[in-house]
Amino acid sequence: MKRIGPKPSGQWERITWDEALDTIVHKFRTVIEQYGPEHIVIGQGTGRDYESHMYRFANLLGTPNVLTAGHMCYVSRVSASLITCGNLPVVDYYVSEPKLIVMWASNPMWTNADEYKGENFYRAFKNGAKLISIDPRKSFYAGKADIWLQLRPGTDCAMAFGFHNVIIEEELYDKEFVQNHVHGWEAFKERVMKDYPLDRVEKITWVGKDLIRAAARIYAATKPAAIHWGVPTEQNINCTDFTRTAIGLMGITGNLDAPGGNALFVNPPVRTVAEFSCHKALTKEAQQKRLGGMEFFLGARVQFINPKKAWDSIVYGTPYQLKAGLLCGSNPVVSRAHAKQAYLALQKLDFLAIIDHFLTPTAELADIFLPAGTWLEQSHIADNWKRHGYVFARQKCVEIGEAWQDHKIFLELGKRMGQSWFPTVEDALDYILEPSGLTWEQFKEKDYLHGEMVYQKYKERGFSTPTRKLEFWSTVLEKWGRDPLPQYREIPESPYSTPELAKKYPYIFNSGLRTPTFFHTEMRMIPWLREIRPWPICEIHPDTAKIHGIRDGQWVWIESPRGRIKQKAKITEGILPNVIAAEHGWWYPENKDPGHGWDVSNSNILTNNAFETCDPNMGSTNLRVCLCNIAPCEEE
Amino acid sequence: MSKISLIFSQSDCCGCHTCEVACKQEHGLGVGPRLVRIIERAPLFMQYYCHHCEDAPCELSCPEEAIKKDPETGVVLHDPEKCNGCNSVEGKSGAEKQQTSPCKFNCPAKNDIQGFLSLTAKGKYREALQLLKETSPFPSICGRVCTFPCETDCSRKQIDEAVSIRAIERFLADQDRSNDDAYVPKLKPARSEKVAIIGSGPAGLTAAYFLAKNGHRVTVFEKLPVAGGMMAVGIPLYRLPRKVLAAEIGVIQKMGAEIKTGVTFGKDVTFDTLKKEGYKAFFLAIGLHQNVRLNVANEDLNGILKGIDFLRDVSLGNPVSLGRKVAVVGGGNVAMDVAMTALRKGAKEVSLVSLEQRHEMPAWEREINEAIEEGVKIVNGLGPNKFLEKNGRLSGIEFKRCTSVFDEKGMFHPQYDETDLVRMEADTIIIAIGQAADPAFAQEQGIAANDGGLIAADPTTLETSIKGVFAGGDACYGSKTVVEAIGAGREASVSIDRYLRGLDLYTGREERDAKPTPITQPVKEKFDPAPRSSPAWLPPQERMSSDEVQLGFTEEIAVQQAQRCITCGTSCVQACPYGVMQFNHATLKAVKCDLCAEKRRNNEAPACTWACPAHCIHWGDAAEFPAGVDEGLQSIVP
Repeated sequence: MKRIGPKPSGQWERITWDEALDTIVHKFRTVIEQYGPEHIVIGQGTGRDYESHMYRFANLLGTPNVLTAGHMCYVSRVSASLITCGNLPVVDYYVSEPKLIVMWASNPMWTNADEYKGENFYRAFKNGAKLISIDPRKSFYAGKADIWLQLRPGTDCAMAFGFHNVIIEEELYDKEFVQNHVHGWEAFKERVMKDYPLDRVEKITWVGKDLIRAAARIYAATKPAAIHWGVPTEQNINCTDFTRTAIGLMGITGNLDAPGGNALFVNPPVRTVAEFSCHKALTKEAQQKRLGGMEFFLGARVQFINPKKAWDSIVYGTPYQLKAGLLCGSNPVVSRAHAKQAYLALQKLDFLAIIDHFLTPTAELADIFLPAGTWLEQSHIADNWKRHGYVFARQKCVEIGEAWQDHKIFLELGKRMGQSWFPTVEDALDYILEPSGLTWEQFKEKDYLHGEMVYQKYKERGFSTPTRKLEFWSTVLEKWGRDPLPQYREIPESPYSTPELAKKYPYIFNSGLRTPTFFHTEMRMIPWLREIRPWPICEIHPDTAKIHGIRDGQWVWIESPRGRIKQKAKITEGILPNVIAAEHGWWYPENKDPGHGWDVSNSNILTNNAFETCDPNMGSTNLRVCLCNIAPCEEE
Repeated sequence: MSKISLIFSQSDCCGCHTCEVACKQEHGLGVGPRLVRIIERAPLFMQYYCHHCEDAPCELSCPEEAIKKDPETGVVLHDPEKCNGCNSVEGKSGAEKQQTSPCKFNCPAKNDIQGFLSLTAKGKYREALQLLKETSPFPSICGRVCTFPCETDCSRKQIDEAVSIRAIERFLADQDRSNDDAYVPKLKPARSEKVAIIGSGPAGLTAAYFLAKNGHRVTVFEKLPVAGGMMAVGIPLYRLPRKVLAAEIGVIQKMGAEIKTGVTFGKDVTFDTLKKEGYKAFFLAIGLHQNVRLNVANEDLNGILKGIDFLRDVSLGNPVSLGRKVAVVGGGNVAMDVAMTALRKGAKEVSLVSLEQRHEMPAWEREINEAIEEGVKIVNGLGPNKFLEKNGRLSGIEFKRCTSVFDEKGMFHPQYDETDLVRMEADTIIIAIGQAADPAFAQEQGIAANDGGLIAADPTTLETSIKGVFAGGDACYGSKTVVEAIGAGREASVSIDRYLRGLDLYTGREERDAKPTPITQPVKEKFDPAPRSSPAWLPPQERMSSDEVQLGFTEEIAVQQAQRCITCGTSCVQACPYGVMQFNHATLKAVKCDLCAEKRRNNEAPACTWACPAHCIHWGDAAEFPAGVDEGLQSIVP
């Protein structure tokens, strides 16, 4: 579709695929000729199995500016893992099973499409695995856990240091592993004991040190044990260092790449996403033009940029101005921090094309809208990007209207741009499958492939790091002149960092409370799902609600220095009195205004995206924690 | 196929709603019907799902026999051919069916009123009575003395007048009592825990009824020599013959509840002694049996009686001595009862003196008129100043003029003209200005009191400051009605049942039915044109010598009156204790879980069961379920 009114007017005209693709190609060619390919931003939202095609298109276009959710979601843990132990450690529920699970900031039974499988976790739990829950909320897991650590939101990294402190002090670690497979142990040990005594960890995390000690002890004593961690640990300033510290825990307790621990899965013999993406086709020169690439170099290593770098480029032209964009399955005006900036930038962007299922508030800012098929309308080798050691044959079972699967859109666009692609979607799949000796047709029969699992590969060949060891002391960070050891950084907007601000905004806003029926900004247009969850919910402690005269189910204003939103109060003792936990991703498809209520209940109106609040190496934005105040809504 | 069941394990439910969505998609239900429903109160969740009940209330409630239990599998099935959506015809009230009709919404006992009316209309009295007994042990009593909030917002009022719900309830209960085999509910398998209930009023006995029904061992301790609380010693005999009360209490005893009269809690038994005897949970339903004092001069003179004591003595057959001229002080229903009882006890002249003006009196108009018909003289606008004495005996009372009773905020705050004094001669004066609790009681037992000096209990769970001790009825919320007490007793039974099973007391109970919005413009011509009938009262001259002053409906009138119900809701939806039965506005029929009958024919599992990531849904032969998965079964809010 083509927008025919001003943006956003909600005035669209249906056009042919040919016209739509040619319009994009023409625009992109013009930008490349006039300014250069780096002036085009390509991007996507949450991982939906088309990153291989999206990246191939971007790389062959010659732009280093790829804007994904990766800076604070999953790819960021992959990047931090790569420099620490060479691969992403994933809980081994598949081959073996843990006897203890640390459920760290994750709710996999509600979000299981995202990452690890909730079903497998629960099977292990029912089989008798002990459970430690690290969660600011009294969740389902907290209710079931042997130990529940109700920490201050955003302090996970300090908590991980607390675990290390106990394990080092009580010598509960695997000495052989530390001696032979760790780089920088002594320096790390010194930092832990000097900077993170339990008294300090207690002060930072608000969790009693005895409880931390008890949790660390059973984590160290139970074998195998696994840490099942969620994205809240990544969506703040401590993204890289939490991941590195947590991997450290897995290592020194002998659980890294161990059966039933956190395993480094072996990929099945198929072409990797990286290879298909042709990252090598992007020239050094182009790479150097990546927005924020020198600053957030760990993000640059895995080919993504920080969103504010893109917004600043569009709005202020620094260091140069993005002129055109193509975003796929992404709704940044709802899903990215400081949403007002995102909205302003995308409104200002000279040319924007959007691939999506529905006209989201972001899509309403586009010039061209391309209708994508859902997962049921696509053929693909699924889950190849996750490093879980298997791939599935996702087989197209229905075709609805003129919607194309995302892969086909990138493929057709790429061909029109003169890039090297494949005749059909299926031909591309054959290419990915080639190392396995299977064709797509054969793979469809087989349905899935998994890598031949070998545990503790480091014993034979070390870890895939420069020192071949688990790098507590990161030689990569060292080379870039950054602190080679992990550290806990206080959340930049908190009662401790900004006590003056905290007088006006006395509560910690903890965004990202999950809704069981929705995923991020998705699904809110499906009536029977909205029937279950008609409104966004924020959790408030009864004492806090009483102070403000807020009743259960009442609309509540939540305000931060960046704006205010409203959600409905759920009064619960499961949250700390000074924390407000709120759902994210809300907009109102039923609102026919082209803004679709993007700023009414959107938690990212409140969050901050300033560079000093981002992870200094990764560029992860803080989607989770800031300061806020609350008040009951006057109108009811 | 053998009997099959569907059970959700409450402890394994993570609240993801996957089952709910799977069910919707499987059956193409769209917006509206939610045959499976998950209530969230993290870290606990509760599932509303069809239990395919043994004696399914939905089956019972259906006048069209559209709901039947499959004899082979035990699955409760709904036949869309027979179901007429409770007269869901376009243009009738049909297309705007309410989830809960106003009658049920307003009934504190949550009776499925539409259900028993529809059954009565079809002559199915036994089924109608059974349906009533699903939610209340006292239809005979409510049928006589209920304040019938159910009739207040009756949708029939949009055509003419409300349906005579109370009189029909009495008809059903009287029918049942006249049978040789009066209905006694079936009991669930026996459990071992003992529950002590203190007080045998409507709240205490209702709790006893539901706990006994759920298999618990219940003992009710009553201070007075008779069971029934205010039903036995407060409501005058001419309104509620005691044989009627005895019959309904008798059913509760037949169900296994033991009632021990003449036992004073705090004296004869205490928490400690009862705990030693093995009682695990307690329900305090002690009522308000104390009188309120006027605090004016000479209040303790001979010849001044207290209203509550007077009614109690008459009810128990104790001697009462009344003079010729009796004055009753008070303007409420109890004062009316006292005045009319005084007439029956030999008083020749009874005056009732009320602080309020006639239109402000708290007593019901119906009762005031009843008293006037019987010869009671009503005097308004006077407040007692002092009692008059002559030779050490009461000679009368002096009143001062009341200039206003309520302040601008509508609060009780009487103002007097102290110079305008009126005297009245009387041989006996009965003070009936309210009821109070025994203030020492809660304190002695270590239970926290609320601001009003009554027992403090959680509004949802009725739990007091002591774990395992629950409290309800007038002693918690002040003087209310029998039907309020029935509601409280049932909530207490749910709490106690959950408490004994170790389940969360709150989950699923805070979400209540939304207040129904009135239906719009029912087409008058489509409904039975019969006008409302109200039950007759005996002529005043016959009342003094009669057992009961209000008459019941004949069968013919009861049926005709029941047919006046315009079925603004759906019987089965309102009968289901698990909130599962739904009305599908798309098909204009009820819809319920049939345990995926289609799939089962092909030996496939219902969608909800395999979609669950926690595998917390079990189906098939109940005997093969893992131990303990049925623990949530009885714990749904009734």
